[in-house]
Amino acid sequence: MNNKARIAIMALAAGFALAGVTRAEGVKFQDPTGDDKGPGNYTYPTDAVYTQGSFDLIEFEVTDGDNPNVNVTVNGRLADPWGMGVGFATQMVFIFIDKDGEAGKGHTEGLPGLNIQFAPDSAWEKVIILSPQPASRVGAEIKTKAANFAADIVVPRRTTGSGKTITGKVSLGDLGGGDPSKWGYQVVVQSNEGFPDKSDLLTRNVNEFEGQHRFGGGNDASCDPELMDILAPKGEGKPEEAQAQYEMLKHECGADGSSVKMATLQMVRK
Amino acid sequence: MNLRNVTLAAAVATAMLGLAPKATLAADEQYGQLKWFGSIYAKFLDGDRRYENALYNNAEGQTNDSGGDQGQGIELELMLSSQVSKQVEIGARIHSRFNQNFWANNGGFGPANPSTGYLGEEDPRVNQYIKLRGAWARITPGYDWIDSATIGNSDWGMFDPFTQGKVRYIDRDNLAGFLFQGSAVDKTLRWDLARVTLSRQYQGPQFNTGKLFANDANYVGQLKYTPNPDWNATLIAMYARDKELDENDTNALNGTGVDSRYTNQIYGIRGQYSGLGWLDLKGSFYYSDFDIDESVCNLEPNDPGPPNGCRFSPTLMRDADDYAFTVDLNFNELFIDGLSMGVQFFRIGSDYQSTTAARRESDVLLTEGLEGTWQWGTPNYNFGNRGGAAKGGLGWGAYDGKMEQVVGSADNDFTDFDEPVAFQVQGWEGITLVPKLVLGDWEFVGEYSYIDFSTNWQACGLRNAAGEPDKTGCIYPRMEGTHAWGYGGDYRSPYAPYQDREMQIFALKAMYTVDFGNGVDLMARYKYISDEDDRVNSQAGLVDAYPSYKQTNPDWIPNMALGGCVGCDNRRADYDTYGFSAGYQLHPDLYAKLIYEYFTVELIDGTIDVAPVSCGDECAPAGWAEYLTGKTDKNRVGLNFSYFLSGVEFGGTFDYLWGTYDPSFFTDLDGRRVKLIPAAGVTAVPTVVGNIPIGDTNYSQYRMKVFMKVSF
Repeated sequence: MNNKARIAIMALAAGFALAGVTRAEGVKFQDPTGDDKGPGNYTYPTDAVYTQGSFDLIEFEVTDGDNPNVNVTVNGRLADPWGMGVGFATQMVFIFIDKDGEAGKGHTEGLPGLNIQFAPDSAWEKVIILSPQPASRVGAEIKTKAANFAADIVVPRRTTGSGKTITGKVSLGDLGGGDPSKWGYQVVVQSNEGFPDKSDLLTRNVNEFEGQHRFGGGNDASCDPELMDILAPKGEGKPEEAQAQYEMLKHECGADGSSVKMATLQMVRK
Repeated sequence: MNLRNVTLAAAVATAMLGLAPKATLAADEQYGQLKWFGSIYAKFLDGDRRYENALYNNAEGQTNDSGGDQGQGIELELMLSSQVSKQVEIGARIHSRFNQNFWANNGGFGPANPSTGYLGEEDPRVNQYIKLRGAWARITPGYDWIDSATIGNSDWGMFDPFTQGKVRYIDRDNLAGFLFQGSAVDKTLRWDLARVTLSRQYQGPQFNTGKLFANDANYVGQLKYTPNPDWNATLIAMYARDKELDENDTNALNGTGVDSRYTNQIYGIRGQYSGLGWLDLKGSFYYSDFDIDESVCNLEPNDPGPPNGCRFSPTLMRDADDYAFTVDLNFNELFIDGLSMGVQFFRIGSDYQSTTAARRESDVLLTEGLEGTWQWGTPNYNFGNRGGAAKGGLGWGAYDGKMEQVVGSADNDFTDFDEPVAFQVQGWEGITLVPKLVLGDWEFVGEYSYIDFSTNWQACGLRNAAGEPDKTGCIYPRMEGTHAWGYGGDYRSPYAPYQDREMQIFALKAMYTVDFGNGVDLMARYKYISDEDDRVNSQAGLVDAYPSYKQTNPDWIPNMALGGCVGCDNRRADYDTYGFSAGYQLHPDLYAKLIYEYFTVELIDGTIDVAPVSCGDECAPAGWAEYLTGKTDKNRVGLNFSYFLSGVEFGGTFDYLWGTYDPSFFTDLDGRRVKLIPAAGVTAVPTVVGNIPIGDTNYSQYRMKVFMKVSF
């Protein structure tokens, strides 16, 4: 193959790219940097793959259209040290959606492994899971560990990471239709665990002491919220919103590790 | 690392690295409980190379323990962990290994049978043996000044690939030591300090640590400061020492002293800054100092022992120091919405040495590197000798996986064709640009890399008393060496005695999901690599490089010093890769991808007079040096699938490859390299590696790997 042909291929591809479609407007929230500490004191695992900002949510966006993109941006460049093949590896994100905003409708329980609950007026109807694992693997885990929620869990047909943003494409039909810009959201940033606990939905543990592949600052039992960052109200990204997150994730463990008060999340709306 | 390895790695991490399952129990109910978990992994290989030395594809390594493409096997991994108390955790892993554990062994029953190659029940490689892979205890005393102390096995992934690298997934608990970790200033300052025992099997010259081995260790420490989300910095230092008995200490009454066989010091700094929003900065710098006892490699003529005793060695043969750095600029938005750009400047000095650096499953560079260059393909188009070098490597197909650039001695043992391949990049320096464009449902990724080499030298940079190039005393290990003569070079042979090389890489990939059914994931890519090496660039150099040859082919007429033709040994390789794939979720549990790839390489490896510098028996027809000048193309049709049910995963790759090798020949005409047109009636052209048929060679290969993994 000669150099002219090679240049032609490059030029053709570049021209094709520049002739592509434009991006759609959609609902977008900001989250402050540096609040990837769960309730305020959680720490990252010590292995080098968990780079600074990997679990620090800074932006969440749902584009409009019948097949919107769900974009979650963190404050660290995504990497694929475990060869997942989709542009990211260590993160896993749960996007809980309250479509109606009505108390008493929807689920107030969190998903297995998160150790959270939702306030009655923030009960969720749908949750989108952004995972670097194959959709089939996530689906198999859901059948085993969250079967009672399965009908309301949406796994995008394709989830990828690029730069600092994880993107999943979903069908509005799978979310039950409606106007995403009117919905309430809660975004929970966790870590992809390929070999989770028997009852955990691919989530990584938070214990009292951080380990090479384990978050620290929590409790060895299951009374603590197991997540690193959420969408703090009002979703504008102001530094003071970090404190609102810490307040929302307040919980209380008994001396024996039993849960006295579970972290209770509120939805964030525009 | 493929999906199977990911899950295995996670499983091992769970057992070995403090990721004990956290049952939904109150804390004090967990203390003292012993938890068992693990996996059953089965692998099924088939192919038409029909080598059956072991249950993995890469056919290198020890006799009776190298690879193949046949058979079925199953292994058990059993892990345990316990939170003994609030202050103590323990974990351990026992594991069977494939090696020659074929189902056909009938459970490893019975005596050895030399006539069939069966090793017998007494050989642990065939008798389904299980052994302790690692154990650790982690103590968290609750003091202010230390967070934890871990004693036992670890993969050492808290450090970095330039210093104390992470150990590969399957053997990640092979290295053991002491690890102390702590923090201060509200966790913004963290430190790790470790003493990691050196492996006597590879972490030293000639892949060993000498006779006195048990207390050889690497001492490594790092201090990481993270004052806020915008920036962080890490200081790291290590000191590895391989000790031997002091032969001058003849008085054993007061103990016996020790000398250093080698020492290896590295000092480094890493940092990143992301406070600008539109630009993220990241950089690292390492300085290495390597000191070796000069008697180890017997390099000089008056040294005792055979000369060049360190041909196969992961270290240099003499003292050396050098540096390595990477600088990354990531432009998060550039000119138009959706366009970003990664830029990396890098240099890995030729003399940068780290005996404990990562050897695989790490990637220190941004570039795709030499992916698409037929790595470890050992084509043997010329002779098709099943008993010769063709039994090595992976056959014509080579690796499917991506390239991972490492600074340790690259290691691809125990791998299959679908896994990434590690490539050693000592000497690489240059720049890589990686633009990305996301436009709606389209994603485009490109690459341009320009790579120069600090290993560009004549006679390893040496000259004799007359000022002429003279490679005598070259301190750089040759390893396989002559693989650089063929396609993309050998993955662990970064040094050649004569080199004047530059390389450029262009790559473009487009991805799009068609809104049809469950969505069809389409991918198209094109990649071009230009790799040019003028090798010897002076007539005096020709005299040193090509003074004589080992006559492995009696028909070949050597041309000493190439008759003064400086351009006759120039090497040029042009690689083109085209790829297309379509993936589809056929069923909620089943995803399949169909792949077509087309590779071509046009190679000129000098004239027929030229032989690899210092080539010996490896240039015989059964040797691993091959005549590959000409045009070769390869087609690959592949089918990948993954299938999940609750608790079990199946995955697999089926490949069919075919292509043609069309040889061409060049000779010296009046000091210039010209194409040789064989005269009528000539059917073969004599070269150093044998008489090469002038006609095309057609080839094909079928291979399959399917696995099952059950986690419990």
